[in-house]
Amino acid sequence: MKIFALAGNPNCGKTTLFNALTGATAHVGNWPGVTVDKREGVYKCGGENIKIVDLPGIYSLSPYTPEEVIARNFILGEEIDGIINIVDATNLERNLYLTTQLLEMDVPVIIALNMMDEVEKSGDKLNTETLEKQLGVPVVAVSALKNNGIKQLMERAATVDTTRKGITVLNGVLDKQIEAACAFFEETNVKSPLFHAVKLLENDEIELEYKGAPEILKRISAGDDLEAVIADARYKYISANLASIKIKADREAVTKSDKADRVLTHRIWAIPLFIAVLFLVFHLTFSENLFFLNGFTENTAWMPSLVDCGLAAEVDGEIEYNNFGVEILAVFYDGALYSPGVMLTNLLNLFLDRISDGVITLMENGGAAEWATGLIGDGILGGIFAVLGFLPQILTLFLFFSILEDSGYMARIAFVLDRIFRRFGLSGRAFMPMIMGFGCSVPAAVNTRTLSDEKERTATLRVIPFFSCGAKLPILTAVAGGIVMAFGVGNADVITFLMYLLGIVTAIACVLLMRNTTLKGETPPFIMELPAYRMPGFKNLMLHLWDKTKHFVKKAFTVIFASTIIIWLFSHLSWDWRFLSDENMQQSMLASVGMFMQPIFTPLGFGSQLGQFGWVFVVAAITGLVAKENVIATFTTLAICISAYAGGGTEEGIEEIAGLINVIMADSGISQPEFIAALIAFIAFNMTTIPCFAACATAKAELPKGKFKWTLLFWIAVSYTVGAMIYTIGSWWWTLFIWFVVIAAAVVLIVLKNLNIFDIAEIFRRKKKDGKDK
Amino acid sequence: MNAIDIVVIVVVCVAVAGVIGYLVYRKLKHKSGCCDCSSCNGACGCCSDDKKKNSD
Repeated sequence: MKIFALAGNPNCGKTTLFNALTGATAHVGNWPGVTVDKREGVYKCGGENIKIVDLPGIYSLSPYTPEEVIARNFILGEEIDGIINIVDATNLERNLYLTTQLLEMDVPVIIALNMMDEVEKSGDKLNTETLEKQLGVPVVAVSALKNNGIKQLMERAATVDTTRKGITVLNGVLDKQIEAACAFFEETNVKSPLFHAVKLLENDEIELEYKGAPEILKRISAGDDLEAVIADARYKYISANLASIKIKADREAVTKSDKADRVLTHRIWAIPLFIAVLFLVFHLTFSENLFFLNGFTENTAWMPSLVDCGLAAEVDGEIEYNNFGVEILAVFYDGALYSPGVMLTNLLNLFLDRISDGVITLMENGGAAEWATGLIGDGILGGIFAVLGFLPQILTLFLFFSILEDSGYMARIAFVLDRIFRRFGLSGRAFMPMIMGFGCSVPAAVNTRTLSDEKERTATLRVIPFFSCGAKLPILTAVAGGIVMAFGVGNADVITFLMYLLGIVTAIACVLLMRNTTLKGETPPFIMELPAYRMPGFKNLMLHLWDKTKHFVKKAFTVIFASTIIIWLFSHLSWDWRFLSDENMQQSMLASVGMFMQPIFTPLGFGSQLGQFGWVFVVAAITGLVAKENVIATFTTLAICISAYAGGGTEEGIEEIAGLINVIMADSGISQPEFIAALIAFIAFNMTTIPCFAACATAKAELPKGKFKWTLLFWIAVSYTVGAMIYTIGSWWWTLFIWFVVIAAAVVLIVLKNLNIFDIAEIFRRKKKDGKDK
Repeated sequence: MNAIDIVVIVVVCVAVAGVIGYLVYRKLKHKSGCCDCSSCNGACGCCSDDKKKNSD
């Protein structure tokens, strides 16, 4: 099978073309550096299949970044049948720089002039025949997004000249030097001697590894910096020939994109605008009072509930709707208009509840034993459906983030944040993996490969879990919803938004600490191309959502399913293997282990002070190590059993949390403010503690050797400290001053250490030495 | 113990066995750390192996 490699600059549409050729579902973001490693697929063309390899986006073939080394080694090392060089037609000058280097290889090259739809839209014209004549290789105009020209591209690729030898655009610049270097490499029988020769003249470190190469370079260059000469020559060639290729249309000096950037990258307003956009995203996902139409507080609420309208009745604390139609209406409105995320969640829960009730009723009517009904109803269905119920909100949040990313807005934020990040020791490039952490920590950790500085990379990897991933979203939403339902305080979406902000603030504080202590170093420069704003492709968005849905549902019916069975089993088995009913759960193995570990979490508020049922929090937090969705699955499974017999509330949906809250309040006597602080601390602890096993495994693989154990310790220390701070300050406001003094003392010690005035570690070392001498 | 209880035990045991088998299969195929979310564009080790296999 023939093999073709796709090579081109970041953001030129390589992955879009790859998708169009192979049909694979790949994420297409609007930032440079989204593709980190090569991907492969097959283009099916009549009888012949062609293997397509998508190389990382690169600006040149010099070994400055891992992506450039990967692409170069693949093209030179593998037996490929050709390179499809994707060139962004809207940005020829920058893109053709790489082309001039690819042409120097003894590999067939065909140029795909991509984004021709945007060129046509702007009114410009490109003379592809002239470009083809000048470069000596086939040039095909395509639009990967619109699927235009793809077939013609591959037809020409299939018939490309396989005997092609490399040519250089540097004719008349360094002829003698190139000839001498070429002769050297021809003697070594290496492939593409012309390419190696020019690279050697550029002082390329890979070429300098050849035996005799440094001596040859010294002789040829006579001490001159030929790298700058060659780069200059390439751009001069491109500029000289570009004039005849591109015919620009008359257009206004300031484009719409520029006008938008004036606002969205404004020196002062960019960040507040970003925070407002983020708040809007969270509001549309979590709010139960869309755009605060029903007022900001309960006192200002004016919209009637369905009970007020006579369409429903409150019976023993439960709302009973008059008919199914009213139940459907309640999905969208009940005392306030819900946000799209909440509407979708209510709709899904309506059907999940019916399935759950149906199965339980069927089993009870069939005479099933209490344990069987409990296992299926409370354990399996309770746990899985509790997690699945959050899928609509996870997808809604993910959709909004994908739109912000694909439109080009996130790239602007990375640019704006660079100025601020730099004060904390990070570059704006670190923002990209962090924002990916809002989806999942695993690909976010992999994306840190785009950070070339090891210390910056380590610091970023450590704080990625603080950007709450989709799996942690049920924890935030369920507990926030439980607080609102049980205590009637606050708005669930505001609490959720503030918790996300807390994660970001914690990340910034930790980076500041690390970059001033154990990971001190220079902040690397950040150069990034701002891509043009574009409307996100609907098909790409939907494909991406579908991937996310499949992954989530698969996880729910495997890991969560197994976990809920184990949790239910061990919460109903005593140490002498007797089956226990819900009323006797406190004697179970799980409860015993939970109660044993409960005191550890007392400083965080969800330990001994929560009385005999507080162990549920401990067990839920620990099961979250397997998968964060497990926290709520465990919570729900156990809360259903406890609430049902302790009379804390209903057994349906998110109300299990509120039910358990009521039970614990009644049992332990804990005050409302203290319990709210404990619940917020519980959210914060789960947000910042050790992530799931998959994320840990990825972090371990990406971290430098020996750093993982310190990273684990870091996560435990941060989550414990943040949880303790929230609980103590929330319960006793004056403890704020104690924390302030502690933090101030730590800051002073760090500053003094950095100024070499005071080093506490050195003092201990000296004392140890003095002790030994005596 | 009646028929429904037996059915519950059998179904749950088969389901749990299936889940364990699936998780072991993923571990053997070096996909245990993979989230299958495709957000990494195949950069995760498990994704690269999987894509290579499919294209041969």
